[in-house]
Amino acid sequence: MFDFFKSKKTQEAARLESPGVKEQAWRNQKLKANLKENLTTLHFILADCYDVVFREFDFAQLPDIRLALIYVDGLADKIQVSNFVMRSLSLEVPPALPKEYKITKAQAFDFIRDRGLCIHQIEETDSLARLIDAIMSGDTVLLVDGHARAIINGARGWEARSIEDSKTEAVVRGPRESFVETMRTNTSLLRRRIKNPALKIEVRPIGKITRTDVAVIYIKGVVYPGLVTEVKERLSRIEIDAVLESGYLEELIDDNPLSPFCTINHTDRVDKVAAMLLEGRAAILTDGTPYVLTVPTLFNEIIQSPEDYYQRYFFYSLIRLIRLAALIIFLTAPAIYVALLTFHQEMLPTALLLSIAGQREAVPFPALVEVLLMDITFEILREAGIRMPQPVGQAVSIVGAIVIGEASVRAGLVAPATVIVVALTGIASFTLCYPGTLSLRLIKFPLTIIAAFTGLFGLICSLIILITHLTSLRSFGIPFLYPVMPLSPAQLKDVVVRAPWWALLTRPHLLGKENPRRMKAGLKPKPPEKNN
Amino acid sequence: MTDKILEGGKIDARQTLYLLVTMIYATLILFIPQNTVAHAKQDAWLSFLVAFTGGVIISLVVINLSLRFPGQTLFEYLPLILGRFPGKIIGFFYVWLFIHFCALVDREYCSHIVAVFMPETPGEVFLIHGTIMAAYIAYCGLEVLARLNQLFLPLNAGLLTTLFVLVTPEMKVINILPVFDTSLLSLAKSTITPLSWFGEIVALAVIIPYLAEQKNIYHLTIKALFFVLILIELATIGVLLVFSPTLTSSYFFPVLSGTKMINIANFVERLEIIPIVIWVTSGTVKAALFFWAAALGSAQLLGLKDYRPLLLPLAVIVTALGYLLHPSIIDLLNFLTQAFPFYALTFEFIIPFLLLIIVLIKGPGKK
Repeated sequence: MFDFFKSKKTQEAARLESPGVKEQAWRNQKLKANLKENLTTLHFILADCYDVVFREFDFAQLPDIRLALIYVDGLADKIQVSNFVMRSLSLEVPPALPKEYKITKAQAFDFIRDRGLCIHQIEETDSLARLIDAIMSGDTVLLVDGHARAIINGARGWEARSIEDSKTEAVVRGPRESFVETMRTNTSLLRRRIKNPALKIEVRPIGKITRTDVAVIYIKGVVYPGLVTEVKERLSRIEIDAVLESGYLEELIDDNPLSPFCTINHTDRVDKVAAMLLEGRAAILTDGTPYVLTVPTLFNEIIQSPEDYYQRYFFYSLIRLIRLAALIIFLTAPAIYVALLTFHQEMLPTALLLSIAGQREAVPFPALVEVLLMDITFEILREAGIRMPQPVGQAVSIVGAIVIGEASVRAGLVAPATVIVVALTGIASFTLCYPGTLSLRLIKFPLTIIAAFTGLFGLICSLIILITHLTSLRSFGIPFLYPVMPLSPAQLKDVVVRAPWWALLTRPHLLGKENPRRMKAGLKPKPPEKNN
Repeated sequence: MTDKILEGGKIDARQTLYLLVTMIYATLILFIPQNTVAHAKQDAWLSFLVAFTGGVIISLVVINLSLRFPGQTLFEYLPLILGRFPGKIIGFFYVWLFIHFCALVDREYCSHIVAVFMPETPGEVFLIHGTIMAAYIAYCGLEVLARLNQLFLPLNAGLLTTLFVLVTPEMKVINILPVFDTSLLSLAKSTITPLSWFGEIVALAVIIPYLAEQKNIYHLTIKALFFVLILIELATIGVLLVFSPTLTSSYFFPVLSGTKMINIANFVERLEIIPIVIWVTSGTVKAALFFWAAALGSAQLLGLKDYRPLLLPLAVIVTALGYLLHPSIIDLLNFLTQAFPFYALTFEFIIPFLLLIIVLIKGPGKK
């Protein structure tokens, strides 16, 4: 039906030479005063875009002026466009206006802009590139005949996923909202938590074809000095076709591209990002994904969860320690098990050794093969659990439990002790912050293999090299292992344990340089002083 | 890191303190010197006190000398003091010294692991492991080295203290009585080996330019030496109390033997892995520090822009040296107790002292 408005001639012209992504000459053009000419250009650029609507109509106040609306069907809010743009321009006289009020053709544009539109957010432009970008982002563009300018109406509205619980980081107590795919919703979620003009949101498009909005968010006066400049500098270096997820950016702005460890964390939890910003970090929001990058990232984030700060600190300090233990178990348990069974049997208590030896008597494989077999099986099941269609989920988990738990032991493929170790390793990883565990899951395999060939000594050596590597990493100028290395004892109260809020007086020292204190000292509750 | 200054890292006061502690105690804790216990008997703890005093004097000389040439390492100011050619010659002696130290540390813990834990594995395996770790840490630079040590030292000090506490049921006070029952001569004889190990503080001459602030360096060094003293005394007194002096001097690795005695409720036992962790971690840091010093020194003497290309050849040299220097652990221990003190103290005390005198007379450098 939209073709109805297009003349045959322009359609044919467009089909012949509509520009692709390579021809960007039109981006430098300005709008013309003649509506016909402008529409021809737009038809030409927007040829074969089935979802773009061109709507021409006459201006009610001055019928010899022709107006045109252009928007993308599905991105613009149709109700707003029909009621508050078209209706007010094509039918109604603004009621506050005296009847005899007449406007000239030259005044038309200013009149429409100042009195004719009932739209909350408008913008004026004369650049063709800005105009096209606006249309493509869901804005509605109004062209007025005789004026080389256009009004961009911010009447967007499209189908979007509603705000839901965080899928990757669940908490028992704490806000449930998580980010969604729409950037505007995401920024509003953040703004609702930090109601302060110092929360800055700077947006830029990245991606030559996709023109994805990427926002750098920080709190001015809290953010680590120089960080924002550095983030923006790294983002501005990026020249890429498309940014479909924040992972694209992550790898392009990483400090340590050749390290298995990712020194940029991501999360979809709103409260976590807000807390990060309040510690002096910056966040990078990407349109089209709920996952927000937070920089700089410290290794200790792997054992932290937002919930630690909401629940009673005694118990959650214990939980932190348990997560730390889980981290160590996760990384080294299979390796230590293999090393003990292969080289250091004397280190096991005799009774335990006999029991394990009894179990492994029927097993045809060396400990390494056994552990690798189970580890890989577990990884396969885990991957299947993520990838499989939901309806078959139950089947897979039953098969998985039987394969791992029962059948492999009955068949004499693995010893029950191995199953325990591998299962423990797998479970331990779920207590940690997910993005951080990925690299550790990778490192676990070489560690196990090294332990099988060189025993505990080799394991210690590899761990030293691993720690050295971690020590040498930096994330946006901050040492990755801070505050453990370089040691900053005062900061450890928020790493291995979680000190009560009245003791967390300062932001992490290196990150919060700009504004070190976050609360008044001496807020620890105490009984009121007695007067009598 | 810029090319011009070779090593761009800066280490803060706490890191320096920890680094100096590890640099010295790593070896001392492995072998409590046999001849110290053999000569001073139950007063061995006293000889460490004397050695500590000597260590303080050595460090005063080295620091005083270094502070006269701010921002320069030993290798850079040697030619300024002695003239271009002789300065470089002495500089290369120091490079050799650091390589040798590094090889010795590697060899020490390699011998230890072979002798105690894995007698059937060829020692080269452990030598190569040790050198690779040291080389990799040196590759990452002084800053990483210092930060790494911030994790290891508190961990090791804690573990050592734990061992001491756990072994208390086995201690008998009679073992260190009577006190002060040693002649001055045997005390002097017993002090010489620990003194030469305390003297390894000479590496400070390479580290000082990389300190973020240098005003507290005297204070800091003496504090570091004092911490070393505490750790060593902890180990020595612990071992002496558990075994008698005679028994102690018959063990190659008294701390390990002491650990083997631990048995609490038939549950806390077989803790031999703890000394291994202590030695491998602290030994690696120590070896890496000397490795780094040797690489940096050669680069500075040869006028190179980066020391990292030298790490691979140095690693080969260190491994080969570690392997070839001593045919057996007995030979190694003999060398360490009999020849090493005189050889090491020449570089650790006599040369810096002479340099200081030359500087005082001739007066290059700033006051």
